[in-house]
Amino acid sequence: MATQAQSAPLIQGVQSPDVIVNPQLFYAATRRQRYAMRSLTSWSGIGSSDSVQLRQNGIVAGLEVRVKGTLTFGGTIGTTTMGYNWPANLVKAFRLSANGQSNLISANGLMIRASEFVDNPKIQDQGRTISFGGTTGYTDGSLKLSCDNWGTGATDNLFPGTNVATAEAKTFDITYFVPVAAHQVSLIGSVYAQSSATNLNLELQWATQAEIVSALGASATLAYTSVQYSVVGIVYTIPNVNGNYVIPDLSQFHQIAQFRQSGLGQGTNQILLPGTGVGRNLLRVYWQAFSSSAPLAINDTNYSTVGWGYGGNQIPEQYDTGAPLAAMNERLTGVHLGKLWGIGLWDFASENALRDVVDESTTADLRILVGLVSAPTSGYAEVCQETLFAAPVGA
Amino acid sequence: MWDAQSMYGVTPQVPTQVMQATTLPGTSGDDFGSGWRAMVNPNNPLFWAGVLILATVGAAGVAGSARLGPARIAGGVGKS
Repeated sequence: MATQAQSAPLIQGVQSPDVIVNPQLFYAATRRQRYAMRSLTSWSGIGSSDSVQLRQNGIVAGLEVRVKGTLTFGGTIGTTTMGYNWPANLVKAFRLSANGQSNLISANGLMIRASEFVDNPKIQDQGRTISFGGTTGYTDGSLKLSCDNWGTGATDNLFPGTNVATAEAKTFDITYFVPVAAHQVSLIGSVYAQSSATNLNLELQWATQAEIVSALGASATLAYTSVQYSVVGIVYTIPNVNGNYVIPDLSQFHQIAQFRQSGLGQGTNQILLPGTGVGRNLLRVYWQAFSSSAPLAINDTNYSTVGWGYGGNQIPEQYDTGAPLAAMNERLTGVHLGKLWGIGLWDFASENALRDVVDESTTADLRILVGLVSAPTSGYAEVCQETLFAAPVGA
Repeated sequence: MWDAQSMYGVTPQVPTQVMQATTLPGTSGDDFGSGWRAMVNPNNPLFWAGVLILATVGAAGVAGSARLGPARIAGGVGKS
């Protein structure tokens, strides 16, 4: 008997017409749409932020963001060095709020880029020669897409942690995929937008100049020319089948939330994950550790014990050094996350989410273990949690 | 299959539910499914037609006799 559950008129806390929750029927009848939520628009400026009100239509599964423009270096270039926030963290934070939930997405550009590489095995970064930290000739581990332009000048190019050789204009063009849904096939974690009562907002927080340029020559100047951004939404229509509106399972919100943990020291640092609780399920944890504002590559030189745990001393997974974690991450994702950007990953969703996902109702004091071989200078960690949590529904 | 409970093991959050049949346009609305389960479904008129036929024919359907040479064997339900 083909039966479906008819939901109450509240979906994700939003008043809606009567609908039927039937994923398969929805997939058969919906239409995928891509359209501009914001056409190419000049940004509000370095260190500022821009807000994009998303259209109140359909079911939003993802957002494609593009940032392009020109960095024009003038004067005498001197010792001018790009920081490690260049280029991905020019977007210091993506902040998505929807249906009463603030910060569904709250992460910097690099973590969003990393999440895309983890979740989408079809993309890879090999064969793209870059410099990193002043060293030339890296051909993998950059998380650079072929379509990326990280800063191209007539004489030389811009790279993270690398000196800028020539005072000239350098164009850049970077794209991001912001995963509103946790799973782009089933659309679990998507946002219900088919209501005038919804409030969907994407905020783009731009980095400050000090964050993307770690040193600017005493007589050098830097101007941001024609910097623009655009947002394209991936939206699925809500079909009407035999007089009934049909939706997929929208019972969960998808969250990617990042925080900074300062005060890292030598030895094992146990970093508690904030906001854990009943009804939340951990899909992935990404993290980077920094010393002198440079990411520490995931290897045996930098890392001792790495793992995750909960409770008194429950440590389900751990390695004694960093290299095995980097190897496991590469096997899992097809990209060497730890080589340059020093991204470590505990992934509970890619292989078999039903089996591996961490139910936070049974894992008090959920934390990651970040063991550092040497004491970092002004050490801190950027930690990013990817979770599913129950969306509010009506009765 | 494609729901949060089966994919991620999360607790379903769907509230008060009303079961309702819906089919895609152009497809048949098969209320009884198929196979033996459909034949014994009390909602299926054929099921009750079958019950009526069995009641009418009754025990006659299981009565019978056989002749083996000079001997004759006979029997039936309800006969004494």
